Amino acid sequence: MRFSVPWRYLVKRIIERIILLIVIINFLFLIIYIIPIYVAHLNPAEFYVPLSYKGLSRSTEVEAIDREFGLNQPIFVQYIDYVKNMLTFHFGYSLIYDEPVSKIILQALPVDLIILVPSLILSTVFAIGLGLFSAVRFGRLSDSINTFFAILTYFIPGFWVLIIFLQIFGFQLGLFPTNIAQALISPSGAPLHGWAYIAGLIKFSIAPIIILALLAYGVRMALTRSYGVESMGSSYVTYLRAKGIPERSVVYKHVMRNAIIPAITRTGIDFAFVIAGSVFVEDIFGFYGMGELLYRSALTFNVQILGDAFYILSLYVIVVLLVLDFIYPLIDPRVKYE
Amino acid sequence: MIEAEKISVEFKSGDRKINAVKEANITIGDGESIGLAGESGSGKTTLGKSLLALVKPKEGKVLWNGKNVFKIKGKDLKNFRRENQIIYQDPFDSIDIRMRIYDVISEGLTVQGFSKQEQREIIYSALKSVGLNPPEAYSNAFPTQLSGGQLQRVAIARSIVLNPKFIVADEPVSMLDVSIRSGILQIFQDMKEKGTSSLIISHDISTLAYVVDKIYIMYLGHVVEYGTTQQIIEKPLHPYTQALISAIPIPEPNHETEIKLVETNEPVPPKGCPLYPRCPFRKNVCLDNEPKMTEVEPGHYVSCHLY
Amino acid sequence: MNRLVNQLLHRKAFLISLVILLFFIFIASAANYLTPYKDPYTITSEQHLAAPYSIPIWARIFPQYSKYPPNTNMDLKSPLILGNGSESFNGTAYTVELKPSEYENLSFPLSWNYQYPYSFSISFIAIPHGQAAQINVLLKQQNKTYFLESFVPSADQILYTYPTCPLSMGKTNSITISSESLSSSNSPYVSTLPGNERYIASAILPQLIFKPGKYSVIISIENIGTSPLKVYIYQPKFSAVGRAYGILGTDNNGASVFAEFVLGARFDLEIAAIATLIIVGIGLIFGLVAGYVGGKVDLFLNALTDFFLTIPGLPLLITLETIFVVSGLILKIGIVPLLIAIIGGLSWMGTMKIIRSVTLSVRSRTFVEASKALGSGPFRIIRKHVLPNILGVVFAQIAYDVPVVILTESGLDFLGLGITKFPTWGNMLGYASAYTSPANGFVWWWVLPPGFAIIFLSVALYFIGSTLQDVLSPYKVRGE
Repeated sequence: MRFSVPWRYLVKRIIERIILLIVIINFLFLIIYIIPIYVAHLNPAEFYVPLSYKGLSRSTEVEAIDREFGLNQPIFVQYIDYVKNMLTFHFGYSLIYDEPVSKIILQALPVDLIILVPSLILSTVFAIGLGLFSAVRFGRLSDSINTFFAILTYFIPGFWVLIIFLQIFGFQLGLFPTNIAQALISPSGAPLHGWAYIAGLIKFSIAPIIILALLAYGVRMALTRSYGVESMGSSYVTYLRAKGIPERSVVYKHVMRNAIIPAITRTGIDFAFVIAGSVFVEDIFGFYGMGELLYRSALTFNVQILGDAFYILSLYVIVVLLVLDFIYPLIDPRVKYE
Repeated sequence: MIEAEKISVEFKSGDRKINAVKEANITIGDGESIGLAGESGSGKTTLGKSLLALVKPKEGKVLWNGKNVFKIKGKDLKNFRRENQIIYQDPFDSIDIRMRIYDVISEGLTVQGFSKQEQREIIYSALKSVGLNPPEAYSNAFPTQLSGGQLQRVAIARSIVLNPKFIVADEPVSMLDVSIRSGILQIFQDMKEKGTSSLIISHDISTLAYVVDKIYIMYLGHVVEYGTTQQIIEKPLHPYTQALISAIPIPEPNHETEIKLVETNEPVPPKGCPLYPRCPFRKNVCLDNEPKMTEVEPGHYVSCHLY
Repeated sequence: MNRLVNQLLHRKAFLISLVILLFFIFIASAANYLTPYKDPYTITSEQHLAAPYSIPIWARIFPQYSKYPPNTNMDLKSPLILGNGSESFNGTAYTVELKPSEYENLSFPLSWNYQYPYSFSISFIAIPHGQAAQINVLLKQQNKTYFLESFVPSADQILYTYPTCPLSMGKTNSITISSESLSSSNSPYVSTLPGNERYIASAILPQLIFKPGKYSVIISIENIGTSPLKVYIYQPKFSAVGRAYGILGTDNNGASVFAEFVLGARFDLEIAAIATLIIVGIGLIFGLVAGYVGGKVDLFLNALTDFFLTIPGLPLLITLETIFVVSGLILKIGIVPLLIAIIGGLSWMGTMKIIRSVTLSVRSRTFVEASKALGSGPFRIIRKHVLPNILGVVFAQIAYDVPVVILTESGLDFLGLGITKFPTWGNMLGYASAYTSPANGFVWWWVLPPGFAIIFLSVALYFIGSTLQDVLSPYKVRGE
């Protein structure tokens, strides 16, 4: 099969994604500047001053921030500045954390990947394995039970399972460390290094990874199952059977190939949105990733970081989706370029 | 009274454009019964629907009593709908299976402002006239309880209750068993006798020959030949018409089909005759020039470079 | 219609789901009758009904909880009299008459079949007539005696080496001895405890004193004056705040978890119903318009939907809500309407996509064109043909959207970003997670019910939705 690059489709997608990014920046400007200023009659500079700040009077501080961040400029100048800053990742300095915002975000971003990427891989394995299991046993009791549990996972509140697990296995039985700080020190209290550090990290991450995987495999399992069932009933599979090809080989070589593509492509989309949904696991297990950053910023009303973190999360989604646009035609020849 | 002038219809599918109908002209006079024949995909149905403003053409217009049917609105449009009806090929798809038969038939009457009292009488007599007796039994039934033939009768009843002057019938019998076709065709015969004009669309020229006065032949969106039924059946001029008529099975063991079209993947020339790739009589002129409609004998028109 | 109902009633999953849904609707609508409490989070009188983290009453069927005490309130009766004075009982009051240096002990039997309670108190009313009396209150178990408190006229207090409390002669003394108020400055027993225990005495006294067995509450009266003494004792009572309470135990404040659960159910169903109406409203209108009108309108609505689908939902929810809170707009709108609006406004996209696609497919059916050919206008066609044919999908979407709304709202409440002031299933879990630590163990009666409720309700709605879609789909009606 010859593969031709669908340029028109790709260019169209790139333009679409760029438009989306611009719309998001405008949207953020709307909710961070326009709404506070024009609807709530509030100076956005207030957002930058730590609530606990003591020293200069608050109004002096706000004035200084006005000058520093250009918040006393006309709104369209601020708008241009904002768009420029977002596109060039100039997020400024957080007075609340006393650190540059970009540094805070850069510290948080990789933390997510320790848990989220392995759990995504693991859930894909569950989805494909259980999906094929059901597809082969379509209509039997084992299929019904398996499918019921997959549906059940859609509706189980993740945070609930996480706290139960943490309380029973962490607090009660003491099987694993209940927060990351505890995981990364030796029994004597000294920080771990090298292999011991990695071992501590793995020991700590393994539980959330498995739980998250168990809670997330449902949709992709259903996808694999339904495509598997469809594929099992298709005439080419009947043909293969008629030719006398062993059932095992029919299932694992031919049916599986068709059935797993939707699950894999869906995994890509889940990968794009995975950080966005990480708030709960990070909060409960004490990871300081993007989700937790967003959450803490919301709790402490740190609008500056909130806006920037939201922007980075959206950007991440857009970039991943764009990469997927390029990859999908390679793994699934059935993708339509429309 | 309905006249289509240079109708062109284009469908878009993704980035591709398909010309379903290309500059077709057709005229239906009062009380006339016209047949429209051609193989599937020739644009017959699309042309038929554009006569009733159910498909919007890219170019051209359809005149109904001198008014362009794509422009009329309000009361005019309502009158146009009442006087011009359509019967579809697949009764299972053209009837909403959630409604009782009575409601299916009454829909048009309700829209057209008939009172409940008037409706009952009209509906019962229509059911009788399409052969669904006793009407009380059928009117309460659901479409799922009826056979295809009965449903097609319901679809016809739905159209004729409005007492239309013109009916487009899109392959009205092709989905039905051969045994019940003649019954349906008899209904058309009756309508014709009452003075209703009709356009009957069919891929089966032999069926048409029984009911219509004139036949139009379509090929790839083009009207390629038309004339009276007798002219077309006895003296087909266009190679495509000849092939269509040759294809009618004749119960003689030694009968040989005279004309066969060429099987090919050759593309249709952009400016030439649409039949060019398949035509057994093709000439060089056919490649670059599209033939014009010419009157070969009174009332018999053909677009072919052979004439 | 009958045919549909018949079909529905023949599906087990649907019936079970319906029963579950009706159960939740029942407890939500009957919340006011099921529990006397209005809001255990803010009304302090609705807290401390029992010990914090009390187990449910019925949980005592489990061996490890079998000896947990419930709340106990009892009148102390039929005392054993011991002493050298004279005593009489007229049905309401015990009258004790003592000559100087005589004493009389009223020893009320108390049979205690449980482990220690959260706290206990002994109360009675004493009216001493005479020069001076000492009233001692003791708890006795077999050979152990706990000298809880001693009451003497304030002038005599200085004479005692152990701590005493003042007694007003000739007046009504309402005496309440509560484990929570006992300390080394008012209780002889506490003052004999080792130093570290002395400071936390109010918390550990019940543990030190109570275990299953026979106790007696002794009110001991002694004439410490020089003239005859007459003491009336009224309404001696013993009460204990238990560690087993109600249907679902208590939370960290000792408030009824069952009350919170039913109040939460009411709120969750309300918010889910309203937000779902918004979701289905937007989704239905956008989907119908996009699917039926098509063309540029479809292109625009579809792009708008894709835009909202691409923005990460939960972060947007959090960001938007924070802006509203920070900018003070929340004061004008109120948290509940804001949550409903934001959740509804950010969750309609899936519904829109599905309604659009089914509308597209219905629109392409011939009967829609046939209706147009009969002269029907677009509104009539949508009302008479499109809507009835997509009804199954609309119902299914309602059933699928409710769980999403409940999950989202609970998530926000759990994080403390949503509703915190009154009970919801989400913030119950949030508080349960915040206030449990290794020390108080796994508070399953607090953690499990809201979570299971969310799951049961969601799964029930899912099955109701998919059954409705199945039964109402045109293919079923057609009998294919």
